[in-house]
Amino acid sequence: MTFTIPSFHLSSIGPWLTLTVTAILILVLDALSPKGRKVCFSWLALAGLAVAAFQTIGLWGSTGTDFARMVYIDDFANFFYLIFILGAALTVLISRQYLEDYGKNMGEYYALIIFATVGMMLMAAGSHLIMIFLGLEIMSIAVYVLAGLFREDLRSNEAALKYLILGSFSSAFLLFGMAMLYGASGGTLFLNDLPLRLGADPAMAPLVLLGVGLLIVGFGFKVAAAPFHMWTPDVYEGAPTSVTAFMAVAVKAAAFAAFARVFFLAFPAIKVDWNMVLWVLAVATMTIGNVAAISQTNIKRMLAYSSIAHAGYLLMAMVAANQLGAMSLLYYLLAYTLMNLGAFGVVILVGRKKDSYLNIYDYSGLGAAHPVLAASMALFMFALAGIPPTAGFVGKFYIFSAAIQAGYIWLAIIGVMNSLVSVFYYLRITVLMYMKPAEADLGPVVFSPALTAVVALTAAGVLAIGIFPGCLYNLAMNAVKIFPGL
Amino acid sequence: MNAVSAWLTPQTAATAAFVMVIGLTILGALIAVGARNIFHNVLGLCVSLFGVSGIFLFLNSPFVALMEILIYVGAICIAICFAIMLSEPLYLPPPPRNKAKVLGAAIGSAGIFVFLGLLLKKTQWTAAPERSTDWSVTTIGHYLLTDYALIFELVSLLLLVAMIGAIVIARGGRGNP
Repeated sequence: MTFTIPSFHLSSIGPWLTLTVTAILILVLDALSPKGRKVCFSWLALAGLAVAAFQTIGLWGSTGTDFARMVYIDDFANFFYLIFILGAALTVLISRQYLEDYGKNMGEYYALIIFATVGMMLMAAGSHLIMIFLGLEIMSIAVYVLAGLFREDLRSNEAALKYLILGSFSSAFLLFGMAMLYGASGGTLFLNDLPLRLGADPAMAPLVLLGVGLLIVGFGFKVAAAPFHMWTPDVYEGAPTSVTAFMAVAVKAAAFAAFARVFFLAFPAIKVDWNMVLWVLAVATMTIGNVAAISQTNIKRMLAYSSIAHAGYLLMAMVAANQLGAMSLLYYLLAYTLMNLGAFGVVILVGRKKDSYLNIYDYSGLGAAHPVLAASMALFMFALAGIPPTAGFVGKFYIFSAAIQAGYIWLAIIGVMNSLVSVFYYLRITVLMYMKPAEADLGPVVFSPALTAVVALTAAGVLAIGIFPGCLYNLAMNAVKIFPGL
Repeated sequence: MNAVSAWLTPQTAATAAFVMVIGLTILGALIAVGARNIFHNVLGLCVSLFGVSGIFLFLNSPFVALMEILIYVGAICIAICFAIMLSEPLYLPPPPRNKAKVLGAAIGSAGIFVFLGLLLKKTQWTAAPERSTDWSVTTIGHYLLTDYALIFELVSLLLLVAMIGAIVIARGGRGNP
């Protein structure tokens, strides 16, 4: 019996291969290095991420599929690769000092961050629902472990356990939805084939709707959308701060990448049906996130609710389901990566040894004690609130314009009102920093070079892409040309 | 003799087999959910999974049925037994059942059952346009090494990540961080 192996090019999954090899290299070096001597794993991880970014730029502009149609090669995937690589690199930079304070600067941490990044890339580029599911699981398992990294800390245990149990539950929903679609389409899971097969037979419509509904539940959990957001505050608060930053930024971006690709590519014919559901989810997510964030006094919990609210804005871009909406999704996720990681960098700097200062009142008087640090925190807060001239403003502007262009005037109005609510709790931090005297002597802030670099880079990035959004706009607009249904 | 052979057609035999595997699945699932002793729950799960593998056999996929028994009944149930041995002792009296919770669970699952039932009734099932007749292990092996080679490799990556994660979590032992 003969069989032919389909042709493939390893270069089309180059970034995945580089990152996988980097992660395994870190693990091997960790095992071989003598006890007590620490190899600089963070530099190795950064080097791997840099090579992967270089390969992604090399792939830019090429289109098609590879590995028997399993992988998409297009700029949508490449754009998301760069977001994940940026998120992972900044996370690696903010982690080192923080982990050393806890005595947990292990090679496995960096390896798991990089494995999670590989999973995210799979989600962004998979062209088969099983590929997307595998990517989701690789990412999720790595992040479950990272959330529980501080084993001796009860809250970290709670975070890992909650995330694992609820996460497996949502994965099961997602898989169940995929099984329904497999049945309804008569046996295919390729995103390209699904619209043709699903539209062919109206008798299957109820099954398709059930499948789509279950997919919304599964993805809604991963992006922390409203009825499925219960885990978010506890997990974000309990997990190590650097991991929280990674979860809030990269995991959300990956889930939105798969969400957008599957829904824009496979279900444009039943847009009316899922649009209504996502409309409700978007409004609920924004409102619950913003209203609950007002009463938080723990900065990590506040940022957790703020990340729920941002998931609501991003869902709005999904509801719009036009070219501008898809473009704003890409732009906003990049902007969100920069501003949120910057904010978490400041949280780690102010939190100091073992997260001693996480209350928002610990920020009082920061403006006088550390003017530059306070100014950058204020900048991140302005960006998250969506005040010009930051990237957050431009991103929100694109999203709201997309909603109006698609005819969802009320959705845009609710979005703007929610942004106004969010200004309250973001500005409260700024008010505390500049207009309140320090409550107690908190001791010196230790500026490690890597953390300082992250805060400086993200602050510069937030301003740069906020003032000159044109170049990114064009890149993202080209990237979303792959969705013919929009 | 004639009466018996008229009654014992292949059709009725198949229906009887089908009812049996469905019954086994549901019975096992009920034990898995309802029993108070956690060890009985695992045994119920085993029974239910045997029933599921029977369904696969009924659908003419002996390979999947075999894998179901090997992996789920063989590996997963044993792993759960290990987990039970490592957790709290079985002889402690179980905490009392919360009536409201039981009622809520019953109503919830009944609601889902009715919803899925109505949905299945409303859908007009059509057979797949193309249907494979070759379910041999050889064919599955060929698929795994040609069209699905990438997925096959990625599954191994998933297992690697899970293994590393388990080691990171478990290393250091209990109460000895």
